[in-house]
Amino acid sequence: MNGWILAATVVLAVGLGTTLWGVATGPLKRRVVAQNLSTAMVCPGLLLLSQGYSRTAYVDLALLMALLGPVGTLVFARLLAGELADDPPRARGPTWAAAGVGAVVVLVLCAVTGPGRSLVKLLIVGALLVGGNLVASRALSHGFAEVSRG
Amino acid sequence: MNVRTTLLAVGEVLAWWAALVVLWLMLISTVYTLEWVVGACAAGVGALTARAGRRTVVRR
Repeated sequence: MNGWILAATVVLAVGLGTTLWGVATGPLKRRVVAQNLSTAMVCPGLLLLSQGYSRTAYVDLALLMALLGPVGTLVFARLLAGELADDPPRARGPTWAAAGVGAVVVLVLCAVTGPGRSLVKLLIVGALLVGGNLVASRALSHGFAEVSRG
Repeated sequence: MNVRTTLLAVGEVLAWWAALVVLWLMLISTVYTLEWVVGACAAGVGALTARAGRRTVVRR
């Protein structure tokens, strides 16, 4: 076990453990926020594991997670719009914490990777991770009022 | 559809295509000829879809 795998273990144990507990228990609005944050925590974990095991294929998994996680949350936000409209979930703190973890992990890995195509790929994953997380959280807390006319 | 709109449409598809090819080249691990061919074809389909999607959103 090296430092990268240790960091991945901490991120997965703390982040994924907390979010899975949040998904499995509590009111609906906490569950949707937790399932949104779960993919945002798995993605940095996979990036750290790819560095720790020197397996670049894990970056592709992280890319898929960063892409499909927010899409899944948008589907939930659309389907549960009626239930969430009266008391929308507000999770500014956890959202920015997850975005911060993702940004820090990506920046550290970028510094280790050095210039090249893999650096660009890491930056794309990071942008999708942080941007998608923020967009999905915004959709959860603000609803779909602007696009529902379509 | 006159000459100007045709040129605009071709330019937009070409811009989408170039951006998608660059994205493809950044995401693959090893760059060789077959990857170029597959990436260029996929980016072509993606460029046409992207233009159709953008026009659908704007028309709304």
